[in-house]
Amino acid sequence: MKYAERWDCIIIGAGPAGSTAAWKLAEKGRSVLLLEKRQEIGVPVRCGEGISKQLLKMIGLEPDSRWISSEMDGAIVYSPSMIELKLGPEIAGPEVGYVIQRDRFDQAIARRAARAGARIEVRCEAVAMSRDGKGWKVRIRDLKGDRTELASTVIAADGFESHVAGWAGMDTALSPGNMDTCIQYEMVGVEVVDRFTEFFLGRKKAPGGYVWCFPKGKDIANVGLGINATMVKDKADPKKYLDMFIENDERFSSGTITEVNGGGVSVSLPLERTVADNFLVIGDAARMIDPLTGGGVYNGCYAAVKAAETLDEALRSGDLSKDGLSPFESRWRDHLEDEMARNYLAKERMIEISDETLDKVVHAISEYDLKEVNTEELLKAIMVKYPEVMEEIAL
Amino acid sequence: MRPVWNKDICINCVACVGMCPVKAIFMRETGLQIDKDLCTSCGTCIRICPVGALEEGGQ
Repeated sequence: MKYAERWDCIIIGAGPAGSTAAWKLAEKGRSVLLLEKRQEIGVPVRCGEGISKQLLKMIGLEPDSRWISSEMDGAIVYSPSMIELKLGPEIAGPEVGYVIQRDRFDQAIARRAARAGARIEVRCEAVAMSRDGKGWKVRIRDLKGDRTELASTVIAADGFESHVAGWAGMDTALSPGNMDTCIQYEMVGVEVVDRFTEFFLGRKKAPGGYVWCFPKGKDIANVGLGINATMVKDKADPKKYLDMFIENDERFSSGTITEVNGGGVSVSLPLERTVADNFLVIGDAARMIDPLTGGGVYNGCYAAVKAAETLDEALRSGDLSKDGLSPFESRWRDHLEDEMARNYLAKERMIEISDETLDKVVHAISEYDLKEVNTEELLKAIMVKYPEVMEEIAL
Repeated sequence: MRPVWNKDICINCVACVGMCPVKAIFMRETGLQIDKDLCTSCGTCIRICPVGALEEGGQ
């Protein structure tokens, strides 16, 4: 792909959202420059690596054994006192999916973008940007030094770190209650439940968050946890909690850690606006992560598809102002925002409620003939078994 | 007290970068950089680092 004098779009960050946006825009014949700060796309992995099959359908990516580790039929949720709630394929809904190798997955999407005609540059960081008459001047730094590229529009897809939206005048700051701090081990020699992801709840295990076990092979799993930032008391608490969890469960305690990773996750409502003049923000940078599950790939990629659609139309009409790009807001919010708002409230309750109440909630749901996982069904289940709990968790 | 970065403990997860309320932390190819002019010594990064790679005591 050759250089453009002025790119239709510069996309900052080649995670799944940035690469999907690049792919979809390039496919429409737009000139796209996709910048990745790191020298290798997808590395280091900062993710539990579970995705839904729905995601692949949505972006139009065929499942591929080169990045799929294992297939999931459902999820098991454990209450603080280990009451088990098994969500099989008939009710698990979006939980049904794959555990993947995120680095290879991210690379697969980036390759789609490149084949569609996007220019990708790795180890290439956007360090500043400023307005010019027709869009943006983006200051770029790579091994050869600094240079400036011109763009009609910029998409910020720079992830949780989210510096770029600030350059366009957006405030992406998070309060401590709206952030989780996470750590994860990839382990070998552990006992997994075949084809099921597992979630362990409880203040003693992961205050304000949960422990997860996502199987990647018959004795391999990602075992990790997230803790709400307000619940961290001492230095290195996340690591201490995870080590304690592993030590106390014989399914994991004899395993070997082959990789350590970590990261921050927003558990907030999304940004109030994701559009500015000649500018869009998508994915983790726009705080689109689901505040209850901590999952961000689906939401980020969905917004990426809508961003590409909106930008293509706006480039055709010539109106790249905030107003011209504003259809992007309703396009992604109509599909994602209600559930994010519900899950945000649920997360707020999760931080407050006692382990005893959480036991009752999980117990009630496990005994109820659940047809599908949605807020209404879950509340009905709790109402039947423990009406007194309803008041405490009222949303 | 400003944070001091211990690169031997750091797992390069950049949780601190995203959680800094004033965006004073940057992960560069050369390592973690803390902008002294922006840092307000609030201690957020020290508290949330999952492995304890940031400590109090910076100038």
